[in-house]
Amino acid sequence: MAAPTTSTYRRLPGRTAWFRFGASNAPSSSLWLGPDHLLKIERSASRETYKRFFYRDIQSILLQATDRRRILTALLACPVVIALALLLGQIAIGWVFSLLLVPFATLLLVNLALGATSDAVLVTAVGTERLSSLSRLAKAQAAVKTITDEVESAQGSLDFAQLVSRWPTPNPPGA
Amino acid sequence: MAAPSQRQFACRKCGLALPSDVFNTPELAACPRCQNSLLGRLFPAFFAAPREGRTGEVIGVDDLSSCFFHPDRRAIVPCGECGRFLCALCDLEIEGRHLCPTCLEAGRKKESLAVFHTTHTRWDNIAFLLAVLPPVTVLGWYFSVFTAPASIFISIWKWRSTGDAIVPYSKGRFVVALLVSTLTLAAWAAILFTVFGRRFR
Repeated sequence: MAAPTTSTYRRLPGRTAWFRFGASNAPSSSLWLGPDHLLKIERSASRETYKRFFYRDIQSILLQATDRRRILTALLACPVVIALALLLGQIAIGWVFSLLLVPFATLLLVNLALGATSDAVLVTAVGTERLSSLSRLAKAQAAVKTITDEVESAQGSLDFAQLVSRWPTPNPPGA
Repeated sequence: MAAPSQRQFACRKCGLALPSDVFNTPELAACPRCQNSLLGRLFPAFFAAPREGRTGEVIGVDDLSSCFFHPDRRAIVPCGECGRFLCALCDLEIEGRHLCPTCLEAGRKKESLAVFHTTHTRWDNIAFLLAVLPPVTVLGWYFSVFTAPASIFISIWKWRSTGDAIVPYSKGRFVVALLVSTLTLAAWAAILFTVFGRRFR
């Protein structure tokens, strides 16, 4: 028997990228804010899996920009350019390529409109979890800000002086 | 995993160990080497020492209550489920309740505690796929005579399962599955009637 829903969750912005390198069969996921924890729901065709990260246990969140958008733009632009060239070249079957043009051009525009891509990880004492739903930088920033507010209300904020004084010595740039 | 103070974060693009000044900045920061945009947030738990485990105080006086599981340890709290006295070692605090290991295990098996609810079967997706996929594929159409009733059965049997998820969802897929399956069965009935109906006239 499943547990009754005892608390309400609020969905965070962001959705799993449909185009991911080396992870095409990874389940889609979403993030939800709970009263005392962050809930990650991973969805496959027949099953949902829940992972909870309590605000008191979250040590860090790191969001970094990626090149995925640029690569995807290049991949989508190729068939669009070819189809346009054939269409404008007034080849006998040029109209066939216009059928190809529409879906690729739409995907290209959507990809450009969604903005820069990103990867995010959440770090706890026992592991690092990839937050694949934070795949676009703008929405991911908003989500990280919301999570930060919740974590800081549970743990307090970290003083910058404390951060610098306890920080492990980094390798010098170019090393 | 390394001790908190020894751990470092690397830039995913150039691999540089990130310095402290790229963390907890109000806006996006940049990697000092490759200038890749990043946003790092560190919280006090990152520098906190690991919490020490509790052991339970050894009983020295006869009139103190002892733990049900460890008679030589002092009881500090009763189990919120069965009422057994528990020492600090046996006291397991979950969702604000104090439970003994036995009740916790029972709760895990029955998923009566929300924190142990870790998976949920999406019957609506299964019913939907059983209803929609076979009719739209060439060979699948022949199987739809079996998958459509299965989809209808699952939709009715698991109609209420949408409320069991941690985050409830709509019954939309069940509705579509019922509609498509009914239409598929109607199509099969029409085909069979056309083929065999003439024979019996």
